[in-house]
Amino acid sequence: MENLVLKINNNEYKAHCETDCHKSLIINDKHYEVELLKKFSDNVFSFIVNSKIYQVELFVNGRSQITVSLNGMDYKIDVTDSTTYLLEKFIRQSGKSAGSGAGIVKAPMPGLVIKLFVDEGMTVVPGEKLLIVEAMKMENVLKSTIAGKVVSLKVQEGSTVDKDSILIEIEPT
Amino acid sequence: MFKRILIANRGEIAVRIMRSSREMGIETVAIYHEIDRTAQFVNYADYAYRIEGETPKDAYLDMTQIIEIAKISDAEAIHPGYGFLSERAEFAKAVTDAGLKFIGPSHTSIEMMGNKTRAREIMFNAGVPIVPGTKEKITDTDRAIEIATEIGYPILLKAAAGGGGKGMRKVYESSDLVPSLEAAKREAMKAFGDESVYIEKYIENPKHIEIQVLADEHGNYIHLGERDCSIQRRHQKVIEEATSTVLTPELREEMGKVAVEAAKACNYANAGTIEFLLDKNKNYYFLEMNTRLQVEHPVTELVTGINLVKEQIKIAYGEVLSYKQDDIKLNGHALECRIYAEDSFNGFLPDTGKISYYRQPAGYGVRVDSGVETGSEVTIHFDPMLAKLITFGRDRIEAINRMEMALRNYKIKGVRTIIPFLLAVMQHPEFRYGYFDTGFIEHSFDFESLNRMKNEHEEIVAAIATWGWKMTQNANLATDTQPKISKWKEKNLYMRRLV
Repeated sequence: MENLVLKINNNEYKAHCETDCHKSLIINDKHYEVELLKKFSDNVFSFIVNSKIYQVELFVNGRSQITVSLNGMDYKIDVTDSTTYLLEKFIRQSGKSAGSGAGIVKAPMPGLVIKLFVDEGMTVVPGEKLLIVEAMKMENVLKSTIAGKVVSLKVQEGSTVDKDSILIEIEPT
Repeated sequence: MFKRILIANRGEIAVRIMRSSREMGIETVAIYHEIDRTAQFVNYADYAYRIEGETPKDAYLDMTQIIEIAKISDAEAIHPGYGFLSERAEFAKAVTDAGLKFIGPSHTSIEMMGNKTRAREIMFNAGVPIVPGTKEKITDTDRAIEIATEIGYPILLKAAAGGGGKGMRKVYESSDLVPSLEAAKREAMKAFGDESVYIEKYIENPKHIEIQVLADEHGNYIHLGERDCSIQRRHQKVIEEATSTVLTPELREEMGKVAVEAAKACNYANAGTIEFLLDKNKNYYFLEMNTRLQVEHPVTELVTGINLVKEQIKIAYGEVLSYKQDDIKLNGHALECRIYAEDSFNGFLPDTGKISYYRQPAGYGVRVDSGVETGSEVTIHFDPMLAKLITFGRDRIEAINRMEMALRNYKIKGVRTIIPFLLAVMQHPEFRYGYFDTGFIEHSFDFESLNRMKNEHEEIVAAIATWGWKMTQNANLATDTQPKISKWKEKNLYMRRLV
């Protein structure tokens, strides 16, 4: 028997299995019966959850990440078992780590960099235009979400970029 | 009638044209780029020929190759669909010069309406109301500033050679004019190879009303009523319907007559659409004419009972229109939702990938014009529209409820689609009551409602995720929970039932 903590959109759900059987679960004190009805393809299933039918796409990445897509909506789920969860919570509270990742600008979609507004060393403010990425003939302006200094430019005008590739790194001030 | 036609297009519209051709006993020829080898439309055709190009899109724009294939394949006519070569006058001319029939208007009509500046001039002279603005192509910044000041803000910058919202910019203040002009010119250059734009008065949050016309090559003209295409994002249509909630029978008749006059002004033959902006005081202004079949043509088909593609083919063959204006009766209500592979939770960014599972809705009053199936690849090479979902009802509310049902039963996995957004619009009170304009998505629609829709299911998702997690930690995901009955036993059971 194992207890899990699932994090979806900053909401936490405590999952607990009633018996050894994975079909019977308690999520935040509510009882759920989950039964696999049919498998359509590698990651597409339909489930009966408390007698209601749900068709989902389900990916389990290792021990800590699950992606579920339901009714055309994607859910990214971080999973920790309850011991690790408590430990991490303790570490988070004792040592305040800097908000890493905040200054990393990633490509929201595959495309072409058609204009750069910033250079290495420049300081930027929230809302300031950083670059324009074009895909399917539509221009998308990416703006800075933080104030800081541009420490690294990973692309130049004319570069083609993949989704989620790092474009610019900004050091928060 | 033609024995064989070539469809110079791909995706859902190629499939849709092939259906009507087959119904008329006409064989169809598909052209495809390697990337579309396994696409549905290729399999739908009777014959298929491969085309090549530097990019997949270039292949579908290669006039010489396409006309050559039409000749080799013994096709007598070419249907261009929408997009690609459908509004290229030179293509229509090249097809005709090659001794083939172009299923669409003459190249002169396309040319007259293709350049928006000239189109406005022609319409103005024909007595069709137009939006105040320039009649000249603008590339010069100083001239642009001068004109904008004269017309008064807000103004709209539009690609002179374009459509589909590309190269289009709204400008509210003079300080925004120069950067907007530059962006519009860049986009126009990319999309149409011509950077010139024209400037007009921006009519704030009008309704987008368009009139379908049909004309034969013998001078007969009719209109098939209106479509309301006011639900747009980035100036691109998302939801369309026939009829509109705001047109009175009198206004419909008046706009229909004006649309017919507009079609006559460019000697139009075949199916065409006159787009109008309708302001709050029900003044209407000519926007542009689309000299081709429109994406949203099915809603007109459902309320008139007229198959527009069949009519197009009959007209191209030289037949006289089989309908008179008095024969056109509008019945019931039809809605269309465009199923785009885009992320409604992230500014409608296009999504790509392989469709891992596809199940489309069906049933009374539900029509799906789709070009994809399970296994289809959605790439960045083409428009992200996968399919169109169309519902019909005896009135608007029935059509909306049916659409809601159909959207819920539309299952597409592997790529994100705007289905959650479309569902939220169907439930939106302003949309349901019919009070909406082109500002709907920007002003009335609350994107928070999507997040609320999402949050509702979090606990269920947590339960399913836990199930999945437990399964994978033990073994691979269980695949088959059905008890297996051996073939031998199955046969015995069957025999027992027979005896």
